[in-house]
Amino acid sequence: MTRRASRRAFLGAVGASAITLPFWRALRGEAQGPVFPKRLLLVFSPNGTMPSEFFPDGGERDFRMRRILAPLEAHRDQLLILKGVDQSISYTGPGDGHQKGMGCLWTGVELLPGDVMGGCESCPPVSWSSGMSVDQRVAQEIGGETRFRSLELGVDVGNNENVWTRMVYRRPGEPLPPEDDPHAAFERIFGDIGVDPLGAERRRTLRRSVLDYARGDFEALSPRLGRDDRLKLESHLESVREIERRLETTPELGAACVVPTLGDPVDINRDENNPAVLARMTEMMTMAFACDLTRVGSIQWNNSVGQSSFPWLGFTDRHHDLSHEGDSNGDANEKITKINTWYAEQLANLLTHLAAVPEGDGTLLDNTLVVWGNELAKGNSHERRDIPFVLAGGGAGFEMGRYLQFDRASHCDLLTSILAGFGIDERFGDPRYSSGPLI
Amino acid sequence: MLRLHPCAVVVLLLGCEGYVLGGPLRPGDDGVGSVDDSCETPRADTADLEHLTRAEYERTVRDLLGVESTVARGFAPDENTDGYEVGSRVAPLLAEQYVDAAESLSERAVTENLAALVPCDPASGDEACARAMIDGFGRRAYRRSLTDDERDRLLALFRAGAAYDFATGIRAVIMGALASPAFLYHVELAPPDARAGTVVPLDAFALANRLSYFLWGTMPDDELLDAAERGTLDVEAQARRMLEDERASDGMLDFARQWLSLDHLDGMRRDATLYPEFGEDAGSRLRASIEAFLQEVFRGDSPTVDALLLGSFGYFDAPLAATLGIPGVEGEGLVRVDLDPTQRLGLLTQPALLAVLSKPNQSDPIHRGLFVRQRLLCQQLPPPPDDIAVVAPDPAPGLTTRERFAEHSTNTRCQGCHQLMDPIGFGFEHYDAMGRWREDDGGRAIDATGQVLATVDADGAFDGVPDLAAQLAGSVQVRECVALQAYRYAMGRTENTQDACSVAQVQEEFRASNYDLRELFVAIVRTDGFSSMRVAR
Repeated sequence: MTRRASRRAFLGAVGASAITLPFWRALRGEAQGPVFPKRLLLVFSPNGTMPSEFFPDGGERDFRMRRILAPLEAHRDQLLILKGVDQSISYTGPGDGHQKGMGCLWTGVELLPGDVMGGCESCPPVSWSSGMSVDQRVAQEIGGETRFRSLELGVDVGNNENVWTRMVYRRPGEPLPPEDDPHAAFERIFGDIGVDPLGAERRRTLRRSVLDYARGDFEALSPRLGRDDRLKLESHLESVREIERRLETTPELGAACVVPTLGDPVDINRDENNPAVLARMTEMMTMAFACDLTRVGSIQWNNSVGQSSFPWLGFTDRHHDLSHEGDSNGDANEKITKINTWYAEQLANLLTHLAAVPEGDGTLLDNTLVVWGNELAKGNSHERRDIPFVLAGGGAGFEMGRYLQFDRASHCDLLTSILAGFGIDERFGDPRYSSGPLI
Repeated sequence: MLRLHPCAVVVLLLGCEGYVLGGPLRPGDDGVGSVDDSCETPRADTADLEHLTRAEYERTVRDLLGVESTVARGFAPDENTDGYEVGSRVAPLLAEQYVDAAESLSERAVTENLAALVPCDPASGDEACARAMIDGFGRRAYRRSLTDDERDRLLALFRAGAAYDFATGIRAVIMGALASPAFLYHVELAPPDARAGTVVPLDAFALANRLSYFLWGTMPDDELLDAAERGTLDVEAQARRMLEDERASDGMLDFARQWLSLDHLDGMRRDATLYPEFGEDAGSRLRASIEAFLQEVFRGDSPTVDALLLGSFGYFDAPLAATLGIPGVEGEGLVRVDLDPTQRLGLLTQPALLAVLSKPNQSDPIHRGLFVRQRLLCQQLPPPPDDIAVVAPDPAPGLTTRERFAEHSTNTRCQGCHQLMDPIGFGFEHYDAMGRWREDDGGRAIDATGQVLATVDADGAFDGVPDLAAQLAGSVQVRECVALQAYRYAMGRTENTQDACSVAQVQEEFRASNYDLRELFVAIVRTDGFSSMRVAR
């Protein structure tokens, strides 16, 4: 699709009312062909998979999907399915299987010891991951120009903060909570696009004065604190400066930017609404990329030890409970397979969304790397070898359309490959388990 | 006292590796171990910078602005240390939520409540009025006197907003204060010349703040701030005054909410096939029920651990009573009911707690036993082995719960630890997943006998929870654990070696009061650990 056509598509979709004129100036790339940004998106679903129904048959190119990945068949040319990639690092350090699986998944390093409650009354107390997550390392390189350095969204991620409910880390010990309310997310991402200009101006003026004032209080307090507290306060201040920076810059909206419609409010505390919440998060992340409001994102579907139920699949069992049934329980195996198949459908839908946004001669999916991971391979044994990883899209320049089988590879090397795909030449994760790019 | 702390006893007994009988005290923040076992010089840990928790924020803006708002419930959740919420760090998302909340709450405050927020007629509001407002409001928002610089900058903020109109000027002041770290954090500063590692008393405002958030769960009132400003803050006298105030219920219920994990009641669902009586709002009715029980214990004439563990009454509204099969409740609202003490005796038999300690489709003997270990005996159990298949058996026709969990007592990898939990939890089998009394388990008679092992002074066989409750109520270990839980709540962290003397003092005074819970709160605020801080590096 040509650039002119995509601009028309934008007009047609939004109409004249929603977006006010100043934002139009932002449409870019007039003379030579536009260069589209690269994006990274991490996606997570919990509690392990059903390996016998997950990993394909066949070889690197002629692989045949089994039940769980069957919904992704339409995107097979854009996929890289991995087998034999282990979370080796997650067998060391403090924490139980779920804690380590979650904390190490995107960071590749051990958890810190501590007395943060570990997600449940019976969990061992631990602290947070001792490292930054791979998306945040990428955001350091490519996140600076956009309105959000990175965007963390979630679906039914639990109303508490612990190692089970957090997967990405801005710094060692600093997890980033995902926004799990679609309305709050919409306000945050798109809220001031297309609002009444006079009201927006007053709001901006007030915010500017207030943040300037608050910054004065931060700066007065900081030198009076001990070292650790000063770091904590400065991290907060950094976020306040980020909000100030946004006030001063009008985002350059990407050419294919269409502010999504949100629909009716949904109660995010009811499992039966999860599909609706998930669909909204998919649309918003897609458009946050398309509008170039961010280039690094993550969508966390539920959380480690997540107890979502899936009534729309015909049963109400809670996911984590199911994942602990024995191997001989055929009914539970079937339900675990259905849950993971449903998640694969949601990934397929996400890829379809990304592929529907034109960028030059290609699509947004061509410029995005999506990585789907899980804190475990198998729920009832807390197995963390053979993690079900699926990569999708052209954002990292990997040769896609393949099924790669490794022998006991460390997932730190996968994370290193992701960095390499974004032009960052360094090993990621614990050096004991990090030897170089995997792909 | 029973010298559980600091004399830590790590027991590798019965094949349960990692089981801790009485917690070993961890080193303090500065890594300082037990350097001085005498308690003659004050000891305290560092005062980490912590932001208001969601619950604290909600009550604080209620009291500061006169605005009822649930906005804080949508904030990124607080960290949880040993079961207690603590504002450890402000993530970027929370930083944005704070600014957004400052914006919306300030707007609501001037729209709904401007006349109460300014000391003049808003219609003729001028800069003099704004100056006076800044003095009074600023002190309450920052919970200390303002500096001249802060006054000047807040006035500048007023002028920026007043370019539109007076109300917008006031709104800017409110929004600025709500966005400031002086409002958002519990700021506890050492004197500028204090040396790192030394222990210094908290300044009077910081102490007033600690008192207020511990006992009321919200900001200090004018009397506390006045006393702090005058330098006449008498901690014990203030604590006694505050415990008589209505707001003490908020503080006590907030402690109980966290100690007993009562948030699990919010939106609680039960398996609709097995428990069709359990409606959409049953969880919130259960919450109101246990809160009323706790309030009567805490505000009664004899608010002791015995009253908590052995009171045979409850509060139920008619729909909840119908769900639970409790007769004699009619009309609107909660009704106090005397219960049969052979079925319902004390906290452990409160339906709300029993429902929290259940799975949606069955009773949960493991977590009921674990609750007694961790929350009433302050014992730590290790998690299941990393590589074991952990399966909660489905309710199976013809098998009792005890039979379904038989593997725990036959599998050698399970039995070491599970003998510490299951034999306690099986004693709860008369209560189903809603907390309702039952005479049989799937048609089979209930065997509610149980066994407590490996405690300091609560060991022994029992038959049913009333029997267990009596056994636990007689235990010094249990009473000391209640005190320890309250201390953790007060400090927002697990006790460590720096707290050894303070904890010992609390236990001594708690014992001397005959284990009176209100006196426990007073004892805690009297300690060096509560009223002092170690200067951080």
